Parts: sequence; structure tokens; C-alpha cells
Amino acid sequence: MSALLDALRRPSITNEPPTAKEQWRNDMAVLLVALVALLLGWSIRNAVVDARSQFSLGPDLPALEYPRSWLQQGKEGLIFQAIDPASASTFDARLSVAVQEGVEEQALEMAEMTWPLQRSKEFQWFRHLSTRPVTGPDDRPALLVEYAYVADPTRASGGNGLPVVVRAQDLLFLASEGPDARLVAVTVAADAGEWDEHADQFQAIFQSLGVKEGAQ
Amino acid sequence: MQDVQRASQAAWRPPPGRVAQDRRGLWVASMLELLGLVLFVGLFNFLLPNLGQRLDGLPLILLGLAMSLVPAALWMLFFHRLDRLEPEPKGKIVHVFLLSALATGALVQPLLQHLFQVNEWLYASWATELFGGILVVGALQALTIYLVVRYGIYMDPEFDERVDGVIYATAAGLGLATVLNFEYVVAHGGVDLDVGSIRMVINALAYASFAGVLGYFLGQTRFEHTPPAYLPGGFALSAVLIGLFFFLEDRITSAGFQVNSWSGLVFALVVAGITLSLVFWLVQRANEETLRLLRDASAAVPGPGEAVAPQESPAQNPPEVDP
Repeated sequence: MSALLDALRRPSITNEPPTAKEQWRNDMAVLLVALVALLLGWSIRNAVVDARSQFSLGPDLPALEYPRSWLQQGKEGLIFQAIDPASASTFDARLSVAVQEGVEEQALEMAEMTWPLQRSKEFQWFRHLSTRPVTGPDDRPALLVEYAYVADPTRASGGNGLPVVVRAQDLLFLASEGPDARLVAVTVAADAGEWDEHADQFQAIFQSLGVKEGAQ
Repeated sequence: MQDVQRASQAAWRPPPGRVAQDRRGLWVASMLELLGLVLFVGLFNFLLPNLGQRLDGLPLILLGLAMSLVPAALWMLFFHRLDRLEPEPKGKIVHVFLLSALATGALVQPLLQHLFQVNEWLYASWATELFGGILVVGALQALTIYLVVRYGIYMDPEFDERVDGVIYATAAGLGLATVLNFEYVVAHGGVDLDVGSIRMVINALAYASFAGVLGYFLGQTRFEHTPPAYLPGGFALSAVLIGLFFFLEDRITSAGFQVNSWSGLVFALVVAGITLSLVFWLVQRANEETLRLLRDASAAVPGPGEAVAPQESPAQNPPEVDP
């Protein structure tokens, strides 16, 4: 300890200022240490941000991947839900999965018309923004329905926060065919004001299912 | 013209006796600052506990912004009053303070929020908070203090004492803390004056004292040959102290289910007191060392008409004893 303190207070016994070359060396050494620290910090950041948890949609379907920091929640009518607890909004960004069992084989074609209508009954101030065909898991045909609505997330807890405009996307596809056909709806939603901040995460969720733009 | 000025500044070397001046005013000002900050917190928590409840909107934000400036203003006021013997130009201290505030507001915070996006991952676990706090937040903030002092004042003829490293780095640390406090007030649309005053004081204490540590190393390397790892070591130490302090501070203030700002304040006061005392002690010891070497050197140089003393003589060449 005394040797350390001695080295701290008396780095050299010279009473001589450093040369310009020594000062340059000191600058470079500090910058190098800072750069190494920031690179290590960046790799920690990436490891945390890119960490994923998995949820299996079924035996014949790919597993869905979502950020590990998101919290899983149980909710009636859904087989899965996870929320981002770090969301700044009172409406946490979320991912949910719902399944309709025993649907007809034309359910997806029908959903193009009926799904927005169904959603409009569930949410207040619903606005259907768009519906477009995409390629879903295992190259199945799928639909991506985009919409917005007004939610009141603090009401249930007795709070008096303002209602929130929510933007959401539903990915719809048939999980199996024949009499066991199931319509799977994977929903991502966030406060419309925060949508851009979560867009990368939502895109990664859909990518984990192998969703591609354009119909197959 | 600028080149000539720069060249003369680079070549300028203050006499070693001047380098080793002690600035009692700085240390007394720092200790009075600790006391003043406690009174500042006491004012909003005990004398005017309901002031914030009577205000909202713009007046509350303005009061919060004014409060953010109090720690830096107190330090400058005490320092101005106590630093009369060999006064440091106050304009240069304010210049460093503002430069650091500008760099923090324009570069450091945008980098932390938008490039590193610390809010998204830093608090994911204790390990990310500790190591991210050191490697990203601490390193970036220590680098800002370093660059501001190094390129804002370091080669200036006014930077002529070892302790100037501590003075200017502390000013830079307070500039950084002031901007963080500003952002806190604006982000929250004003501030809860009692808890807010504690948070501001904790920020100011931490950044002033850890900047002081880096300033000590900067002061040493300005006037001494140093080993290659000396200044980078000081930089790393400062970054570690920043990251470790806020990690522990978080644990202390949110121990259990309640947030206890007072225990965080006590912790910050103790850490700042110990850190500044250690820096003070180190500067004083280094100055004593410089003066001892000067005395030895002047004793070894023969006066006019004197014979050169034999080197072997123990009376003329006393063994080195640590002061």
C-alpha cells in the first residue's frame, strides 16, 4: 500500500516537466484506454440488447424469439404475452400470441376482411391502417394487419394517467391445415409515440418467425 | 500568431518552486462546499419543505434549473473568497466549467442516450450496471473531463501549479454534474425540490471529487516525467470510481422496497470527504517532495568562491527520508 501511494505521489524524482513526445504518449495512452473501455462496454451492450428468449408456437412451427429483458405475463385469451418493462410510456411495448382453434381452411382469406372488424370491437377508437400479404413461417401465406387504437393503461390500476394512442401489427397465418387448422395471431404493439424506438425489436421478432415481405 | 503563442505555451515551464505551491484555499473551499451543500439540502427539506407544492409548470422548472447551478456556484464562491494569495483567474475556471458543460450537453449525453442507448440495457442486471457504468458511462465522462482540461487549460501559462490540475478538473466535473442536473429537471418537468436537491448534491459531490482524482494525475504529468501507465492509470481509476460510486449509490438508496435518498447523501458525503482528503494529502506530499529536491539541488550547487563538496560526505548528501 505504501509503495502504491509512493508511486502515486512521486512518479519520478526529476522536477522536470515532460517532453512534448511524452505528453503525446500520455494522450495516446489515455485515448487507447478509453477506446478499449468503450469497445468492451459496446460489446456488453450488444450482448444484453441482442439476448433473446424463445417461445414455441407449436410442434410444427418455428420458435418465436423476443428480447430477454421483456417480462412474460399471463393474460386471458392469449397463449403468450411479454412486455418491455423499460418502456417510457404507461403502455408497455408488448408481444402477444393468440390462437383460434378449428378454423376453416379459408380463414386467412376471410381474415383480410373480418379481422379489422373483429379488432374494432375489441379496442376503442380503432383505426385500420393497412393489410398486406407477407410470407409467414415456413413460407406459409400470411397477412400483416396494421392498426391503431386508444388504450387507457392506468385505469385498471386506479391511476389517472392519460390515455395512450397505441400502434400495433398483427401477423396472421394458419398453423396447420384440414380440420385441425388454427389461425395464429402474433401481435406487436407500442405507444405510437415510441413505435420507432421499438421498430427494430418488432422486426427481429417477426424475423425469428421467418417473415418476409411480399406474398410467396 | 496563434502558432507562436502555442509554441511559447508549449515551451513554457514554471519554476519548480512555483509548481509546488499549496493552495489551502482550495481545500478549505472544498470542505466548506460539503458543508454548504448539506445546508442547501436542509433548506429545501426542512425550512422550505412545501415550496415545490406551491409551484408547477415553468416556475418549477426555472427553480429546478437555478438549483442545478447551486453546487457549482457555491464551490466557485468559496474558492473565490479563499484563493486570494495567488488567485487563479476566475475567468479561466468559468471557461473550463462552461466547456465541460457544453461537451456534456452536446456530446456525452447524446452519445450515451442515442448511440449506446444506456437506458435500454444498463439496468438489466447488477453486472451490466456495474461494468456498463464503468466502461461506458464512467469512461466517457472521465474522458470528457480529461479532454476539457487537457485542451482547454493544460498548456496555458496559468496552469503553473500541480494543484491546478485538481482545481480545473473539479470545475470540469461540476460543469458535467450541472448539465446532468439540468437534464434531470427538464426531463421531469420540474423537480421534487426536497428529493431533487439531494440528487443534485450527490451528482455534484461525486463528479467534483472523482474529477479531482483525475486532476491530481493531470497535475503530476504536467510537471513531472511519469511512467507510461501513470496517466492512463489515473484516468481508469477515475472511470472506475464514477461507475462504482453510482452502482453502490443505487443499492444504498433503493435498499428494500423504499427509496432512501438520505442514506445516499450520507454515502456521497463520506466518499467525497475521503476522496478529496486523499487527493489533498497526495498533492501536499508531492509538493513536499518537489521542494525537498529543490533544497537538495540548491545545497549541491556551490556558491561563488565555494569549493565543490565531496559527494561522499554524508553531511552534504543526507539520505533520502520520506517526509
